[in-house]
Amino acid sequence: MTKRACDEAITRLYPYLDGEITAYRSWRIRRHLRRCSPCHSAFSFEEKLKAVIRARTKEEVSPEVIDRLRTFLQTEEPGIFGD
Amino acid sequence: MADQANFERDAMEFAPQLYSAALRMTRNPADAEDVVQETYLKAYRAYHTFEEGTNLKAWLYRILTNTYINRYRKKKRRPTEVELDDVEDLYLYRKIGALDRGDVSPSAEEEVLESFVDADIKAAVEELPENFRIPVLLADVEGFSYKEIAEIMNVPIGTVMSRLHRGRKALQRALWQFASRRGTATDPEGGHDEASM
Repeated sequence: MTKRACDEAITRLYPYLDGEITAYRSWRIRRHLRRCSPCHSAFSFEEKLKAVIRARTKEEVSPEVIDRLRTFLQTEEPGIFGD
Repeated sequence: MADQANFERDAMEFAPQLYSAALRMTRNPADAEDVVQETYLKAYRAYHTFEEGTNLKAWLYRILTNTYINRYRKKKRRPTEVELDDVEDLYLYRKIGALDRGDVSPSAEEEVLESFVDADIKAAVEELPENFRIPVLLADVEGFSYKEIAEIMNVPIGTVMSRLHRGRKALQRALWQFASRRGTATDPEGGHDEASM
């Protein structure tokens, strides 16, 4: 693959993974990835990394935190949760 | 315009997500709770200005982000616009590739991704300067679109894209540093390369 084609794909890596490019550009990138195994491998790594970050930075929220939020709001705005 | 009577039904379901985001912003459970409480109070009081049928989740995140930024600026008096060194594209991928001396094999790649400890990933996000951390958080953790992030942060889409791009690369470098420190990935440039043996 030409360096230019790879550079073009890498420049659009994030907008591509984020679903923020036009259908035409996305098609061009997919076509490039089918033909270029180094880019295919790099894109697939970035996609996995994105999924790992998303899955592993979520925080479980304890019910007590939500209870304290409700109590706080009720105190500040007694009508907030109806009667 | 939205009716305050529907606030509980419509807005309360987002509280756990907002708390999780607040924790990544403030880096501290007590501050996160304060920021979420203030956010909900402001949201309730301004609920009549929310245009029904538009994006309530993004509206709440906008209030959350502003609340956090205002508090943080008051409290720490730190400059909020910090620059990042430029990190090369595909930083982490290339580092893993260097371990393997070639194309990254799916197994080496999986191994490094698996080796990340949740605490390290959270710390790597939290280490980013605020103006990069917020777009990374909103895009990668919360899944907002560029347009939504631009509205939440009140900056142009081009700014969102460039901060996101640079923030993600800095995040990759931080992840690599954590992995190297734990010994799960050894940097060949460090002269001690177990992976090539």
